[in-house]
Amino acid sequence: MAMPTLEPIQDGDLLAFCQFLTEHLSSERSAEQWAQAFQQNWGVTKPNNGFLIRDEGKIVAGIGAIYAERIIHGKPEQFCNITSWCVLEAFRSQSMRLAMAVVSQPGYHFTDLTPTEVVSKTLQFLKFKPMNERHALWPNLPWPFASLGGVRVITDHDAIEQALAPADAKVFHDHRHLPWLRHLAVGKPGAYCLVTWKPNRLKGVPGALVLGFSDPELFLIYRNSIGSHLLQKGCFYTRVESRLLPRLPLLCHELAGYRNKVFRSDTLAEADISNFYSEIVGLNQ
Amino acid sequence: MNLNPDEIKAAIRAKVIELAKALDMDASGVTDDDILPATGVLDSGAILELVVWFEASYDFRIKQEDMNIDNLGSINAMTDFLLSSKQA
Repeated sequence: MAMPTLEPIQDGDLLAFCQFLTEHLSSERSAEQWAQAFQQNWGVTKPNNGFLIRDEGKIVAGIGAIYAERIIHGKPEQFCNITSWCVLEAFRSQSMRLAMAVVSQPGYHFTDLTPTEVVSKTLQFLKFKPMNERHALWPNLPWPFASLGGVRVITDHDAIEQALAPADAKVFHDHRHLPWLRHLAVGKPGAYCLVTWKPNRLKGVPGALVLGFSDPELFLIYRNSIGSHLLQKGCFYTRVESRLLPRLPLLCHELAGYRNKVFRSDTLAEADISNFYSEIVGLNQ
Repeated sequence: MNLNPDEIKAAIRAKVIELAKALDMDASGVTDDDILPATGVLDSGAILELVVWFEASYDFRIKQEDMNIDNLGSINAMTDFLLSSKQA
């Protein structure tokens, strides 16, 4: 077999690549829906949208990349989030070549937050580290004491953006247009925490899957107020990845057996890797 | 067991060519310095098969934390890793 050509996915190729994903990875999502995840303007001049491989001009493999700049510990950091790795069976020898093309780009922290088990193991060979895959879950209960203590839960988008500290407001601003996400700000004047979540079901019971928050300590301090608010929205539990929490709260149950999300960074730790600015929020999953 | 570096490299190269052939790829041009996952001649399954063969052929066990591209990413890296493991 002649060696197929490897090339970056430029904006002009994006729709063709996304059509390839619709045909070969998941037909539940249209090419336009796939493309939306790669077209976010998340503060970085993206070098490409990933890489693809052509054989006689036809796309036979590809790997998507979502780029973003995030402020971590007060410093801007560049992220490359790998997603949508798809290789036709006849060209599977090209799969590692694709991954190498992405991770050979200097200056980025790399993540894959939705890997299959095979992809997770493959990326670990490329020095990605697995993250704690457990989820913490607790019941949402009425909490009438919140208002007595002056704690507010804000859900109006403009009010959220005004209440948050500038760095957190930017995170909210970068995600508020995604219609499948729900947001709230919880706290007191001068110290609000952004919480981003989406409806979830576990064994048929409706609940809330928290995707991210701006301040882990405030999130835990105000978890009862958050839970009470979510209960009013018909969510009977709060569920969050354990790795995002500084510690497990009381009355918490841990669920295990999920896939390991993976990341590769020389300087950042697991706790620095959030779901914001990734396909977890960029695609309606 | 022969631990001559040139012979180790030749054996690994022969295995890479054999595994690539099973994928309908020609690995005869792969050099000792080439990063194997970047060559496009082996997929992840073939690389795993190469590692399993490597352990069995040279009778040593690779720890999970050592199973990465630094130690096993090229013919030269694999040879160096084997020799340093045998000396340890």
